[in-house]
Amino acid sequence: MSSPEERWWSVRAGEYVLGTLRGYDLELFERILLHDTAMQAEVALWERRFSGLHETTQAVPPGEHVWPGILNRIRAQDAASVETVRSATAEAPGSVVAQRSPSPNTNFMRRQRSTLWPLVAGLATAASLVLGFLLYERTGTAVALPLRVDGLAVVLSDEDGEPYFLVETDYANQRVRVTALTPPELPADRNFQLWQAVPDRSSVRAVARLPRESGRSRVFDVDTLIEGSDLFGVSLEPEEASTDAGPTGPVVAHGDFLLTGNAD
Amino acid sequence: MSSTTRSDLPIDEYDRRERLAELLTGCSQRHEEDLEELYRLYSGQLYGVLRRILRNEAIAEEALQDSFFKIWEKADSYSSAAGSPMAWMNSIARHQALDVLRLRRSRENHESPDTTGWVDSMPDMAKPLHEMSADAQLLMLCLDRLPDAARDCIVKAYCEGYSHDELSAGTQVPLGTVKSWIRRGLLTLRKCLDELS
Repeated sequence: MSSPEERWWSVRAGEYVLGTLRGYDLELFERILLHDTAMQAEVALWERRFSGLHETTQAVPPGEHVWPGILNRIRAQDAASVETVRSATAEAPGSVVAQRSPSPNTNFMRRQRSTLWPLVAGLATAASLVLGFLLYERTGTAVALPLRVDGLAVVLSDEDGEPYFLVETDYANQRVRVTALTPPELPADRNFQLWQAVPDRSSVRAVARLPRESGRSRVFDVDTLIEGSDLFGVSLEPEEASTDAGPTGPVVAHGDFLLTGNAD
Repeated sequence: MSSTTRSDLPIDEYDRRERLAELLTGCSQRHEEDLEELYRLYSGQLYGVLRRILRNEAIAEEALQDSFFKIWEKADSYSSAAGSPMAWMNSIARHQALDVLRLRRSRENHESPDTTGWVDSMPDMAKPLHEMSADAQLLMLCLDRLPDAARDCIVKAYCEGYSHDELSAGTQVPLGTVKSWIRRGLLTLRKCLDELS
């Protein structure tokens, strides 16, 4: 895995194995995992990578009642399976009932997941949609934080968490300031373009070109921002590129927000 | 990480893996005696993992029962291509423990940072490095290359089931910073392990 998207997925798989994915992120990842063999392999690889940590764990003998409890449980389960087979055979002679056939609920879940994955996979295909993917990925987990907050700071970072830009809102003075923190060096014919998601996250809108050099800021009117949307991204765009149709270059950073001042 | 062959491992380690794999095959064929031997060989290790994450002996024992029940039920899906039998069983036990933690947190309706024993709850390091498997030694080497904060967060999340919120509370740094540490740490770790193996 080497592209930014692939690295992102690998980190996601690592977070899944660590157990730090929560809520919708976890639910979505598990849905994808059911169908995506590459992701299953990536998860298995992380499991193997981390399994050495178990060698640092001191083995502790469990209580003596634990093993009889396990034995009782598997015998009860096996007895129930046999009874199910007998009943089914009695009802429909000659039919074969698989002991471990999936329940209707399992099938329902699988159908649900199979409709979800193409959507996610589709979103991840084009550079212009990588941002859309990031928006989708955050759906359900992002706090619905209104932008009309003084001192709201959005840190735009790359996949490694390197902070490229800081967006700060100042509603008292009706302005927004974007400061370049540690952006990478750019070819002369490329620019950093800031985008903001619309509130329903169905698309993005161009906000402003960003400074290229570390420490430089750009200030613009607060009305440039879309109220009620809390997600930003930065793409690399050619000098003369139109911003009408969304990003044309790779998305190099996206935003995590922090509250640094008082909400009104 | 390359696949492990007999020549990569000490004889006893290789034999142990082979034996565990055989026992899992026996479980898939519903041989209770194989599950019993598996339990005798590996329940202490899994219980140690569960106890560390769940921090409660009774709950950890219940999770151990659930884990062995799942091992019994899923044994036919184990494949050596997916890793060692130990890694596979550890994964089942860890996910069982994480499910218990998530349920507990959702019942409490919030993430409840429990930073008790924050300083003393790092890995036991029961074995000296030279007694560990080659994969474990490699992992330790690469973990050592991470910044302290990232390494601590990753180890605590993996070994003790800490959530981002708990790590943030324990380290007294913002949540976003903890997430960045972990994500950067995972990328660095992956690169290091790929290069060295």
